[in-house]
Order: sequence, then structure tokens, then C-alpha cells
Amino acid sequence: MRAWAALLALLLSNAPACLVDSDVNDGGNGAPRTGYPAGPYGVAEGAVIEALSFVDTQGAAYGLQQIYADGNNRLLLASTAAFWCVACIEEQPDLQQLYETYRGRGFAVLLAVFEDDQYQPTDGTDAARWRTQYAVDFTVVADPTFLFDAYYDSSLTPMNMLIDVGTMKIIRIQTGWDKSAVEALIEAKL
Amino acid sequence: MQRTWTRPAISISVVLATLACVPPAGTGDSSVGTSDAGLDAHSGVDRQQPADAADVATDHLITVDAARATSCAHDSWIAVVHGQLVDESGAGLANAMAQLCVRTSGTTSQLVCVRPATTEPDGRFGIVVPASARCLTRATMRALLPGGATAASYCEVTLTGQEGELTLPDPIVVVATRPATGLPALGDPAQQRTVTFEDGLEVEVVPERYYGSDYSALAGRRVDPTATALCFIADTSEYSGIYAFSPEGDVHDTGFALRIPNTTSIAANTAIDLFVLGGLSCTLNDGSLVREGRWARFGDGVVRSDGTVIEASGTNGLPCFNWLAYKPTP
Repeated sequence: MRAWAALLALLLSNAPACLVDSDVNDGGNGAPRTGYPAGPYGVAEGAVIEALSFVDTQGAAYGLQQIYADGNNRLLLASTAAFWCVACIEEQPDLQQLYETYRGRGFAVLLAVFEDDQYQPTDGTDAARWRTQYAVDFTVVADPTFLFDAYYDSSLTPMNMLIDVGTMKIIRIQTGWDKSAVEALIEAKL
Repeated sequence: MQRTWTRPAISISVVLATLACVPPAGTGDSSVGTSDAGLDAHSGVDRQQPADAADVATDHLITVDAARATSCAHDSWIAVVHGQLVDESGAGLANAMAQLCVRTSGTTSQLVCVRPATTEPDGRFGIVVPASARCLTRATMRALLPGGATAASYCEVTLTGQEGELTLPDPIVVVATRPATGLPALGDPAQQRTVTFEDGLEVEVVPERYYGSDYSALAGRRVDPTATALCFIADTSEYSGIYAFSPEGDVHDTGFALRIPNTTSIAANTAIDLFVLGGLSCTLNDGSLVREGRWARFGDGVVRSDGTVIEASGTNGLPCFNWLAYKPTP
């Protein structure tokens, strides 16, 4: 009986966290953010994601720290892709459409390309090529060491992850692409 | 690139924390896989860890627990795909890549791609389909020898009557291409130039509109389907000619004009139907994407009045470098 009481107390004590998660935790008023949310960091939904760093189209480091620092960003869709992945290629028009629809409300997209069509790790040139080839204007980076591998069942690609930029908490991790589900979450969070 | 996956340790604290909508304590180590193995209520796809460690394919002998899920009553249930990649002589192709993309079943059907498998020295491979993607309505294989001048082969997998472990009935042939015999230096990538292949095929290429990985590596050749069993050619007599290209790549805007040597002596002024095979990305002039492993008619050609060449230009140009086929218009 005592154990059940302890469990109930634990659940109730965490209830506010659930309520906070129903909205992104930031006004997105444009003021730059400093620092980065403290750990402990995790890889599952509800965890704070660590400040992963990738390679941008110019070959420079670019990652979640920069996305967090931009005070206009409220909700981030981080997506994995590979040049050999037809499923990833097919979702690009949807990602672009969502980006165009919601970026004015603080929605950002980060696409991390981890392998080219010869199954080799990518570099900044590949990231640039992806942006041009698939006519997208959101942020595309190379993820040559496949940092996102730890965050999902990477035996299936693509992965789509929604992150509350104000807290850098992982809201949702989804393998595959379900536009209506993602859009419903975006609408609910922004 | 070798990757390993570590089975997550699921503890009582993780379960409780998940129930409470907060980050589970003790999952701060990024080397730990996601702890949530439940069915994704929104997408219908499991966000689970990869198949059991015992399921991870290291060779073609892999077996898994292939019991059909009760939720998959009407569609195909595929847990493992076995097969072999060979070259045109029929020899097994080592270190080639075999890749599977599947369309899952259900109201939120999704297209997902399974991590590619590397073939063994004899060309055999085994691909484990994660449990969340085993109930499916279609599946397509892609086969390629990375770094080599080979065209990617795309094979639609026959699913009817398949259950559990699927062994492809025939080896997938990976076709070698040959460097273009006339390939002008890159120079101004916006400038159109004539690229010539070994049998005299000419394509008017604008490098900046060709989204293959490397213009300088452009290669291609005519392939005889009666001599090479290609999984995407059901009837070897269907087409008058077939060409394989590499690197595979889309052509933006209007397709590239082409002139095909009329080696099969089709009568002068005959109208010709032109086809491309869908792959990673092949966009037709109307903006539609050709499905991988499927042929799509992209334009009209005509045999020149002197009978030497089949010509196509303007909106009838080549929409992508992958596989090209043609035949007289019925």
C-alpha cells in the first residue's frame, strides 16, 4: 500500500511537467537566448536533447546551440535523411510546405543528412547539394558521424523529431513520415 | 561505416518517468537507445529499438521471430529478405549494397527505408525488416556497388503470398556502366554540351541541371536485356533498346535532348515512345516523381528521315540519368 501511495505521489508531483509540455515553453519574441538548457540530457521523448553539432553547407559547425540561441525559434522539427533514402526524398516537399506555413510563428526545420547515395558519410558539400537538389530553404546540415543514430530505431529512415526550443525538450520522435500527425502537433504547440 | 546499437536498459524508473511525462532519470547517456518501444498512436509505426540483437543481420543466414502480428491480418508480413547480388556474368558481387524501402499498411501508411545491408563475398545478403515495418503493401529493392561505375538496379518485390522470411527468387544483376567517351570538361556548368557514350548515344547535358553526384563520373552504356536478366524488365522483347547510366541523378527543368543510334533499324520517321525507370529521384516535366522500380513514359522521339538516329528534344528530353528505354509507338 505504501508503494502505491509513493507511486501516486510521484505521478502527481510530475503533473505540472505534463501541463508545461502542452505548449512550447517560450514566447519566441526574437530576443537571443544565451547558454543552453542544463542536463541531464537524454535521447527519449521528454528528455532535454544535448547540444548536438553538425556541419553546415559551408563546412562550418552548426547545431542545436545556434538554433536555441535564435530567439525567434520556438519549435524545431529535426529530421534525418540520406541520399539513398527514397522515403526521405519524398517527404521534402511536405517539410518545405510546413516550413513555409509555420516559420512565421517560430517553426524551424533542421534536416541532418548522414549518408550520400554511395552510402558514404556526408560533408558540407552534400548538405548544400541536398538544399539545391530538393529545392528546400530550411536548414540542411551534414551529420557525418550520425549523431541522431542514438535517438531512434535507425534501422528505419527517416526519423522526425519535434523539439521545444525554449527548453530543448524532445516532444516527439517518429520513424517515417506522417504529415497530418506532425502538423497537428505543430498546431498544438505553436 | 560500422555502426552498433546498444539495447536500452528499461528500468522501473524509466517506466514511471514515462508515465509521468518527464525525462526518465538515467537516460542522459546518449549511447542508450530510446526506451519507448510502444506503438506510435499517431503514426501507427513503432518507435521501438531495432530488432533484437539476435535479429541484426551480419550475414545471409539471419533468422528472426517472424510471427505475424495480429494487427496485420490482410497485408503481407515480411520479417527478413534474403537475396543475392551478382554481376552480369552471374558472379556474386561482394561489398555491394542491398537496400529495401517499404510502404507500410494501415490508415497512416508510410514509406520507410530499411538500413542497407552489405553483401558477403558471394554476393548474398539478409535484410531484417524492423517489426514496425513488417506489415506492408509494397517493397522495392535497390542494389548498387558503391564507388564503382554501376547503375543502380531497382526491383519491385513480389509480395503476394509472402509470409515471414522472403527469399528473392532470382539474383539481382548489378550492371556496370562505362565512362562517357566524349565528356567535355566541366567549364561553365550552365553551358550545354554534348556528352557521347560508347555506342554513339548523345545527350545534351547542362551540368548545373544534372543532380547526380558528379558530372565528371558520368557513365552509361547500352544493355542487352536478352543477355542480362534485369528484374525490372518483365519482357525482354518489350523495348527496342535499353541504356544504363551512373551516377544516378535527376535533371532539373526541361530534360536533356538526346540522339539514340538507331541500331535496330526502326523505319525512318517512326514515332518512338521514351521511358525512364524510377529511382531515388526522377522528376518528369509535369513535376511528377517516377516511382522507384517502375517505368514511366516521359516523351516522344522520332527516327530521323535518314534512319540513322532517334531524336528527342525540348519537353521530350531525358528527365533523369538512371535507366532509359525506347520502342516504336504502338
